[in-house]
Amino acid sequence: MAAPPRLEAADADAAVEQLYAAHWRQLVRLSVLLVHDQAAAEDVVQDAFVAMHGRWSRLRDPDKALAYLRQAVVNRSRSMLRHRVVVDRHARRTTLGDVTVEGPSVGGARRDAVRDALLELSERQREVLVLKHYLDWSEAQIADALGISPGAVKAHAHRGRAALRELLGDWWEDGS
Amino acid sequence: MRDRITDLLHEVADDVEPGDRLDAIRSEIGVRRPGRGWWAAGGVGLVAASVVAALAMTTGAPAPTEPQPVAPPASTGADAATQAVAVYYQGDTGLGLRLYREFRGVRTDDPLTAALTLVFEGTPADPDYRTGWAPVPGTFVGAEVVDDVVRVEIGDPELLLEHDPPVAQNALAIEQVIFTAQAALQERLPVQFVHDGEPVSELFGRDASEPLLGAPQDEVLAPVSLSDPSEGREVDNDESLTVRGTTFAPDGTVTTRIRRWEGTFVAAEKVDRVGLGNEAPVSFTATFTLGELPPGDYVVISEVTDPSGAVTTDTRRITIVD
Repeated sequence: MAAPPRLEAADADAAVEQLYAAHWRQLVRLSVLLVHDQAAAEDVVQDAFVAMHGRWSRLRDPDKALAYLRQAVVNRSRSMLRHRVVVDRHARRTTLGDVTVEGPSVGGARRDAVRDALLELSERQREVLVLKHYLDWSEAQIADALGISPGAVKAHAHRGRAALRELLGDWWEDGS
Repeated sequence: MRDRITDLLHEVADDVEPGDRLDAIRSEIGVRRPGRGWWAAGGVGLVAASVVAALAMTTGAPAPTEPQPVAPPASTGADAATQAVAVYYQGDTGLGLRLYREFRGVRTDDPLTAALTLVFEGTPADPDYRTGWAPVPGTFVGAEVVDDVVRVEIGDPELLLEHDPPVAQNALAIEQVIFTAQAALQERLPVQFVHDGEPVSELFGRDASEPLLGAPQDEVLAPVSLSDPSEGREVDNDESLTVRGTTFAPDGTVTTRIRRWEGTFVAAEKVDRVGLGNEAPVSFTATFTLGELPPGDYVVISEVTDPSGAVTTDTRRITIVD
């Protein structure tokens, strides 16, 4: 991935424009892995950008702003998921499985299998696996972001990985 | 070295082609008021500062057990979800650290979460206030009302306790959350702190296993707290300025002054006699005509005196324009 453009302006508005251009897609993709709904993920990241803008005078730096954005996306994805679960409970709707991305796609059978498997994991396992393997965060960073201990991160990663292997079965071995 | 899970996650993620939300973000960021750096802390959409200034705050005479009431803001004719939320911050008073109330304009369909986000992560508009919560990510997860109890979801309390610097600086930080939640809901509901769905048994040395109603108002609220004007407001000297606030008025009076920002020259002063025996905050006003005041920066100061002689003030900086 190409390096992000250097941020010249210290102004919050310019920061939003430049960070959006460089990171919007990847941040929405991160959120989709956590909330499994593209429209919801776009909402989450939109809110994160607005929040970052409000905080710019304390960030003042593109790297800090990006770190803040990622953190905000992770936090808001989690609350969005919980809020939706609560709403679903109250409305007596069916399970969270209903809010997956659109159905099977041509040539995407393995992708669908992975999506379904991710949904089967516990929220914590999913979060830890995504932060560790998609964002490449360290255990300490993950612990900080999720408000849990590094030991808990290890445990969730281990169990999540095992669960994913089991759920995916043959798809796991297929290395093509 | 990419491992299997990384590959699989990328396969799912790379298939996502996000829509464009840049225009939506731009419009949510809103219009900055020219000249002054008005800004609201992150977490909620900004509305133009002129809208916030136009919201007329009035408070009725409250019953002793009700939270400080606020009348619905005057209609702006704009987006229905634009509203003012009350946020409680800490400030110094003659009686030690107490809670002051600040109104913030937000665009949200969840005023409870918006207001609490400003408590946990926000920065007060008034530079004399501060929040008792360090902005540690993951401290505040969300809030909702279930069975007439406000459930406030926070991060792992043990980790929050170990964090250095401390996440909550004092017990008053907990009261900030309770009073702000009650104000957002306009109802004195108890607040239950939860983590991972379970009630938190202890929070910073305080028993939190049962829902908390909040400490008595006269022990935690500042003796005087301004609702109007908001910090940084511009006022035309052809108009009158009505200062509004709430107070316990221990000696029955509130004195409001308009003083030049630089120096000590007091341009105007009014005393509102609200009467004695206030166990709950009562509203006060002071109306000033500004025609004689030259344009420039001023500070509005409302002041009360405790029987012990302790003086407490609340201040707002304003700019008078021609």
